[in-house]
Amino acid sequence: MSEPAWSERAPFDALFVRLARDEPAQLGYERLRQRLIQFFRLHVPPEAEDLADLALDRLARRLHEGVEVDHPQRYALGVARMILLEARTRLARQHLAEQDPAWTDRPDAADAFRLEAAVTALDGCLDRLGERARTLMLSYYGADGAQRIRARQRLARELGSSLNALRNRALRLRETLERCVREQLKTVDPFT
Amino acid sequence: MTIADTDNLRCWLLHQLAPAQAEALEERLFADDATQDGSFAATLREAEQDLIDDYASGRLDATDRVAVERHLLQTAQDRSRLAFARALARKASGNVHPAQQAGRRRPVPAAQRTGRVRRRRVLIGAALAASFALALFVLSGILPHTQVTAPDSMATTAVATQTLTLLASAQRGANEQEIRIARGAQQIRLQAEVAQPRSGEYYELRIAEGAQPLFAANGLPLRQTGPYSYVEVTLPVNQLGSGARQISVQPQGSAAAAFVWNLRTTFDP
Repeated sequence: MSEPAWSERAPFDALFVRLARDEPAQLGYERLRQRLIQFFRLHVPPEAEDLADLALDRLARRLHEGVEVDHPQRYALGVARMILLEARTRLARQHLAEQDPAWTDRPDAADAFRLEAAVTALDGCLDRLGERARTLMLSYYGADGAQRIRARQRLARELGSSLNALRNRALRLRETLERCVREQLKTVDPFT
Repeated sequence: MTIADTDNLRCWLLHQLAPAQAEALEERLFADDATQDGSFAATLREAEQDLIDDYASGRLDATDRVAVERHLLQTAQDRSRLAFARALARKASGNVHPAQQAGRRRPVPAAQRTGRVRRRRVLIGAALAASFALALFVLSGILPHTQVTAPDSMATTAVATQTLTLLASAQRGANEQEIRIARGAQQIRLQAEVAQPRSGEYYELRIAEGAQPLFAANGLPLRQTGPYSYVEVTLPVNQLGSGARQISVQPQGSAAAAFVWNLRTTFDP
């Protein structure tokens, strides 16, 4: 039995085919999705991932309909801006507060227990990754202000790495640690 | 990526750029991401993390603080990133814990506790932390209407709350710990660690000035954060008052000796 012409899969096939012209399709898809999430995080953080997926869905459907797209990333930005407009109109109609009413810098933020638990969890997670990772994390994120860039440039030189490569490494390491700490805290903390 | 570029990204993330500039950066985000320094998207992610780190370390001015809360700390995941940032700031700064300054040991992480007696120390760190939090509220213009949603609080109007955290110690001793109650605080959120918690148990917390009882709460359930088990009450600052105070916690209806902290509370002028 042949697939229906308008199966859900067909538009995304069209998107992957288009992306594959410029780079490996899976990589291109993921990079595009991350950019869309970053875009929507600037404007509607709680819905960033959902709206990014919506943008990809619409882009895929346009391609499946036969629209010629010279630059999928720029086209995606146009779709994203349209979706953002729709989201803002919807949110304005719903009279949602501009700020999440559940968020304030509550006394929880100064909760010594929570901080101690997070520091303990971070210690454990850093131990698991090893001394080099620990040193990298604390050196890379230790400076502040104007010293920050210079400190990172110096660290890159000392490690014989480009700043870009070091940045990517630090980002990946931090994401790994954040996940580790989150997992440790969420099993016991009623407030996370 | 130059310092000026980084500043530009920060302004973009805080919605402080003119629309035309913001649109230009959006287009750059979706264009080829090879820049002189590499990935623009990765640089943007790092700029966001640096902002959250600066927020966690109290390095932002009032305007930027409010902007970070509004745009970068909206979701539960964002708040968990903030908790991580605070922990990382503590580690990276190499700040000595107040208990360590007094020559006491920090609690041993759970993974290292097997076969050893768990060492603890009395820590009264909340005055600093709470004053800091209160100062943050002032800087961000939230005082005097800080929203409080402590789980067991019945407050429905906004009040300024100072958190006081008492950790257990085998060496609590007779020396009083100084606690300064920040100006403007209207309530005290008191968290007292339970040294040998038993699940399903309820606890009593009492505050006294010598033989004079000042406050009592019964039926307190055990709470847990990381390795710490504790009970929590919220009371008006006037009920705590200033002077020598003994705070005791014990299992409800138990004849076992209470766990006691000796404090001396004073109000900031």
